[in-house]
Amino acid sequence: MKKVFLSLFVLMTMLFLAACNSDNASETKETSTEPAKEDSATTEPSGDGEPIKIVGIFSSSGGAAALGEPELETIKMLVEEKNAAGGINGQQIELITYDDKSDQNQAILAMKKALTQDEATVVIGGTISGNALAMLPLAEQYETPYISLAASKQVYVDESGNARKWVFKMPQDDQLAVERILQYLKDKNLTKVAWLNVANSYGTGGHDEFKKYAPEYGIEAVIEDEFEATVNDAKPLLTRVKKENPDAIIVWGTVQESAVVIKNIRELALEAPILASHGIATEQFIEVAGDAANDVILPTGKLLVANSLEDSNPQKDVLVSYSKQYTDKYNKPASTFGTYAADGFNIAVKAIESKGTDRAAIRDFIENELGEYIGVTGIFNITPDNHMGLAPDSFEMVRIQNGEWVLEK
Amino acid sequence: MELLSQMMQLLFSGLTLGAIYALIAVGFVVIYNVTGILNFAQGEFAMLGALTCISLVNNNVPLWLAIILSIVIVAAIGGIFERTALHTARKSSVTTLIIITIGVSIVLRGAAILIWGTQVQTLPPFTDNTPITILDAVLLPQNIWAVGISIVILILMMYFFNYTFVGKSLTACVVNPFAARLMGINPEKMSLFAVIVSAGVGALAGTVIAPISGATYDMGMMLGIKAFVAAVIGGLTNAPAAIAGAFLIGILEAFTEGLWSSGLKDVVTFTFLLLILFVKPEGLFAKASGKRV
Repeated sequence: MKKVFLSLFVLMTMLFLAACNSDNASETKETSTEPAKEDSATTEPSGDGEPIKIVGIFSSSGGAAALGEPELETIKMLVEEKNAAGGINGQQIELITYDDKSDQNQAILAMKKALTQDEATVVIGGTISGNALAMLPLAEQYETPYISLAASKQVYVDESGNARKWVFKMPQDDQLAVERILQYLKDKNLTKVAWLNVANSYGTGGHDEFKKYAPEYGIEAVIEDEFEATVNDAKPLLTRVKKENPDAIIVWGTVQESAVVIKNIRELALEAPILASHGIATEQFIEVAGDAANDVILPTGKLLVANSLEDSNPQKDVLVSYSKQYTDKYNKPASTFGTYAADGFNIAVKAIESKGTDRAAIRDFIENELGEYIGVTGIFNITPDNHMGLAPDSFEMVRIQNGEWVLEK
Repeated sequence: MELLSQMMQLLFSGLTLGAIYALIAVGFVVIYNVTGILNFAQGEFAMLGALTCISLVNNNVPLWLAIILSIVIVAAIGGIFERTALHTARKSSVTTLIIITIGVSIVLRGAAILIWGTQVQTLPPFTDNTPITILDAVLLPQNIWAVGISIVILILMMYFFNYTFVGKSLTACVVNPFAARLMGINPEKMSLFAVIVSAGVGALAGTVIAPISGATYDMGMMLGIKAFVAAVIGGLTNAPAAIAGAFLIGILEAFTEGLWSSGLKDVVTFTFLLLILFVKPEGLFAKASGKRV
């Protein structure tokens, strides 16, 4: 009996660990070996010469579909618009897109095809960090500019801390969101804070950044702890937070677990302001957390509050027009993920306009000559050392009020 | 005073967690008692119950009706599962059947992704959820529901197994299926009945927990494991003991998290399980009878 139970226990533990480690493995069970070519040649080559080939690789189905879909739609919309207006320097754009199904293997296959068969001038895509990291060695090998839409800092910085030569990245690093929160706490003079993060790579990554930057902003953590992604009741943990009486509580996680923890904070009637990560900046959080979502403060891209920005904000026009264009075409609200694709495409277009289709020249242009570029995500200052180029101010602090995102002053 | 209120708070949290584990642990025990197999799809019944109930509520079915309907639907799924997966393989060894249940749990999770996607969904609390304060500790009506329901189930199970004909027949099937058959009890029918009951109770557990933590396709795994631990600690053959084990685990987790660290919660739970398996493998509350396995 002992043996049966022990072996079963071991078996269950193994199953459980396997489920934990293979991050969303269940979402990526795709059997086909060929990446599906969604559509190519949106327009016939016209005018003089070859069309300019831009390849987009997005996770438009599978676990990350909610991210990849707006990216795909955005780039299709912009290519259509650009071609209707005569293309780039009179040359039409041929957009070739692949769906990597949120799977790294599919992403690599698609990237290989893009570089060898399609001979892409520029590749845009890699919706999630795992896929982008899998794709980028090929970009380096085939010396083709690759604009990544995934968040991890490793995407554009290699192991030794140098910029990867052919890779640029559009979304902000998580670190910038941490810094933006610290800046806010400093401005409000909330110096003794509680830090709680979800116990996975997203949470511990945020925690590392917090530990690194908090002293610079004069912020001190009175308690630092973790909660599980499957947390049901965080009240035991929060009783310890309550005892420390912090000025503010930072809850660093994604939608489900943050909603549970924040609900519990409200139930225990802790008065301290709650700050959350940019990972919960979706309508879904408001739905799941209900009333508890009120007065939660978080950093987010400017798109959610585009209309409330001051007119003097240089990004306001870009944001409002992107949002309107997307909503008019697809009849649904624009998403922050789409803005990454918009910036990636626009930067590529600018480079091709100025340098033609020579890959090395395009790369050099983005790195050295682009200068200050006002994008939808933020204001980019790409340099040879920084292939992302955004600053913490590309995040705005917003407060949730009655289900609306309100710009926090 | 502050310490007292913290202790109260931890106790409330522990009881709530324990109540949820208890409802799923009861399912383990019922199926184990009748068929001698451990059903590792037990946690998935809770997931199906929670998500079905949410879908019904979103389609404007009143909450109470939705809970009852989802219990019925999941019980029916349980019945289909028993007939198609377990009944057809009834001549195989117990280990084979256990592996089959693991397979079924993976199938159910996969189906849940296809039907409901990977997003978190939530259910409104059963009743108005204004927190009640006792000695500065906060108690939510939903927590009282959770604890109350599992105590009711506990009493029902005790009554059922000890004082009803069907309950006694179920137990008889475990003790000696051959003799039970001679007495006119049909073990196969009993097996179907047991799976249906535990699927229904599992679904109820899911609807209880959905307002507290939300529901996703993958919630069943962790709930199932914790409930399994609870059932083993309590003693697998005895429903009340399993429920006691569940409350013990819940309270142990809450106090570890509250007084020590949330990261060590699972470490403490599983260490406790291993200790029990080494020292008292028949379960903490089980009478040593030596009658089986």
